[in-house]
Amino acid sequence: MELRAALGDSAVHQEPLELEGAKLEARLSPETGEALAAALRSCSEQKLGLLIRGGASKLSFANAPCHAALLLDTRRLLAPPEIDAEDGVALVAAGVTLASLREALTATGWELPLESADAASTLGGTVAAAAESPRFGPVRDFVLGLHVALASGERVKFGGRVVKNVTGYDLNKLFTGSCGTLGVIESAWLRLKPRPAVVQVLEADALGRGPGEVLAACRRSSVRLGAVEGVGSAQRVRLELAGDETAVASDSRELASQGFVAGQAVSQPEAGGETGVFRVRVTVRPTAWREVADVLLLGGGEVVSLPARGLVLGSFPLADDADERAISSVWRLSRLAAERGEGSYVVAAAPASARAGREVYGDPGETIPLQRAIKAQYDPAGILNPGRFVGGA
Amino acid sequence: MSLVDELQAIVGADGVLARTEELFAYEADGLTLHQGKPVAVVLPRDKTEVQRIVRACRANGVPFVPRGAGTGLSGGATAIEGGVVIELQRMNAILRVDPDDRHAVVQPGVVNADLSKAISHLGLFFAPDPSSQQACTIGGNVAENSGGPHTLKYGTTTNHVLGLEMVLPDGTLIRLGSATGACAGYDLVGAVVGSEGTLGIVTEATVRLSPIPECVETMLGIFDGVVDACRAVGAIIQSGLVPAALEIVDQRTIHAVEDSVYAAGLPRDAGAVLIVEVDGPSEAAASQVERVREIALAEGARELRVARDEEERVRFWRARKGAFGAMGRLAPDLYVHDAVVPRGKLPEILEAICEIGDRYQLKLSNVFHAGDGNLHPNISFDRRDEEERVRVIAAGEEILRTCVEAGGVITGEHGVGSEKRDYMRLLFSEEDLDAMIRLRASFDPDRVCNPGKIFPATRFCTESDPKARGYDKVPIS
Repeated sequence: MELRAALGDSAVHQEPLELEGAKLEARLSPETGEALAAALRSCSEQKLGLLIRGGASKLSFANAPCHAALLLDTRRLLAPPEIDAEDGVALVAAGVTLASLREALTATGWELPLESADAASTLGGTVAAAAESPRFGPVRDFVLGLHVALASGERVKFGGRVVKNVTGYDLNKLFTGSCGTLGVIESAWLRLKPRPAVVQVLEADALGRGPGEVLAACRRSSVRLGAVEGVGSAQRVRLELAGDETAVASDSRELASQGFVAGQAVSQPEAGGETGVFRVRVTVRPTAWREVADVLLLGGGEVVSLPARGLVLGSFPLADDADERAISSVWRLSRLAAERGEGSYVVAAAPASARAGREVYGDPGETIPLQRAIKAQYDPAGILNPGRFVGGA
Repeated sequence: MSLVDELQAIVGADGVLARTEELFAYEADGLTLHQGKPVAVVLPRDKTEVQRIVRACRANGVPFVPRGAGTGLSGGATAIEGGVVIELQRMNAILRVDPDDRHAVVQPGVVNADLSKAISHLGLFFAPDPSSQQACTIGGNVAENSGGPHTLKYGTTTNHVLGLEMVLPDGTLIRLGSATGACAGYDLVGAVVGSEGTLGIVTEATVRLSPIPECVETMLGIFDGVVDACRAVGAIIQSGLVPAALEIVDQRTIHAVEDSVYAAGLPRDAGAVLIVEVDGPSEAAASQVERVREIALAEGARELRVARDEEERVRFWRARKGAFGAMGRLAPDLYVHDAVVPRGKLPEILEAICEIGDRYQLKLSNVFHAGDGNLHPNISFDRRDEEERVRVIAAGEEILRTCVEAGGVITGEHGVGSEKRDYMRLLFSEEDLDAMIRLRASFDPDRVCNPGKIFPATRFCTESDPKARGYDKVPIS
């Protein structure tokens, strides 16, 4: 088999499996960028569709594949992270888990601004899915450079290791969040965050506080995570303050005067297993967070609002064999919530049956022709996560 | 009907410049080394006129170049291959401000500083602050992904653009992103910001607004040498502090500034001054000032002055932001480089750059965004002196090579434009460039929108022409 010649026997696993509704003949697990590129070239030539996975924590964060013959597993794309503690940047291979990277950074003055509730999450998957951290913000803000293998088998790089760069098109942005549909990430240069001297958690009742008041508290300069959790009278505002001692103390005093007290750590939104659950992320006008949360709460699930980020996260139990009525209901609620906040929604996890025939990315509107043109440029044979992205790209 | 007649029919006679003397001002942008004369300059008033202009250009087979205030420093807004310049300064309305959700919708011709002035009473500002902010436009900022001294804390333009409306090179109007910043699918806003006007013409931008910090403290660290100042920058960054700005002005620049209207009382015998700005709640800013003082003095600062009042603070910044203007006293022309290096390499790179300037016998000075590792070696020269011009270009190339070899890049905020396109291969392979051209081909397969920019001049020969590769077969709409 041509792929064995390209990758070596140890990287081709003839183990038929069914994933995301696709029947896959084998799993490919290249260990090097060269092998990855060779596999992609070969698959392009043979028009073999690839379902791509890292830690598999975001597998259900996509449309169902329209055709896929093989599984491409990026977890063996491993190399020790190259950490520049002087500059606060690091080059990290795609298969490195966020957990191990965080561990590698503990001895430095820097912290990793990427997060996942799942210990298996890899750097490659997190960047490909643009899995935003509620604490640190969009992944795109921390990707300085990318090494990518294109469907053609060409290995290319964008950006670089420096923190400011306008040399050529910013393809980092295009590939971050492209869900592996334009190329496969080999490694990334990341910008790290200075480790705060102090981290403190405060909380208060949300009930009785106007949405504007909560938003203002979440926007205080040392608050890096402001979340509203719970339902009804149990609804709490939890704030995680981080920074130097004076800044945190100053905000802490002001918040204490508003009734905030020492609190429990903010729970990791979107934590937990991915089966039997429907998760939606609704991006809205920050001032509309409460109206949006109220809409989602009608669904009877858990809702976490991040007012300062204009983000409301809903999580509803939804059995893998849920009936059409239950499925339609959570989708309708998601759409309604987005409309209420003049924003948009993305279904971050759902049983395959609940995603079938639906667009998890919401309404891409008039940009679809352009997005298809871009996909055709980078993946003309349509082998990379076919059908998984917006509008079937 | 000639193209000029057609353009006049679209925007009126007062909206088209086509006489030779009218076109002189458009032969170059802030980079006078590269010049190109347009056949006409057209000044639309709205998006519909932009669409009609683009379609008229397409029908006549003429390329077009979007242009804001023309303050760019890489030849990005120059009609290097001829064609029509579409000057967007008349589209200068602030269409909407939403202070609670912290965004504004603006037309591309709004001057950067004017937006911040217009919203200051709401306690908000637009964070990207290029030195040219009193003149440059937000459309230009979007095209170049402009930075500025406060990029260190606030990021560049790309971090402040939520949505765009643009006219594609085929005349189609399209909206990318949204007021909330979310978009379904590829991050097209991220791809367009910094694309130097080669993917279309932005007709509206939804930008993020930032809260004006409660307190701002500006300091001036006086050092005997620029290398010591660079070491202090490294120490401040490693301490975990995130100042709003960390800027270095070297001795040659100090002299030029002190001889000019921008004089700020900088000590002429200092080897360099380091401007440090911190902001935030009053108490926090005060504690940061003390930490910066400790670090600066430990790294050899002779003195650390803290601006006593707003007037002094403005004077410090006027010296920094007016430095390029002050260079006009040294020679008629200025060539500003824009390479970025890993911050830890700043001391050795600065020494190497000064050595290169001396070896080529040039008037080279440095004023730069040290916190980002973004250098601005400025070469003052007279372009009428052909022999000096050759030395200027040769030294510039050597500086770029030195920075790239140190792990850096050739531009941090000015863009590649026509100026640095032939240096792209210092950083990128043919495959890397080809990957970028695929994006261009998705938006502009016929390469009619701001041609001659970013990509090396030899990229578009027969074998690498996007059309020859069949990219033009991909439907745009």
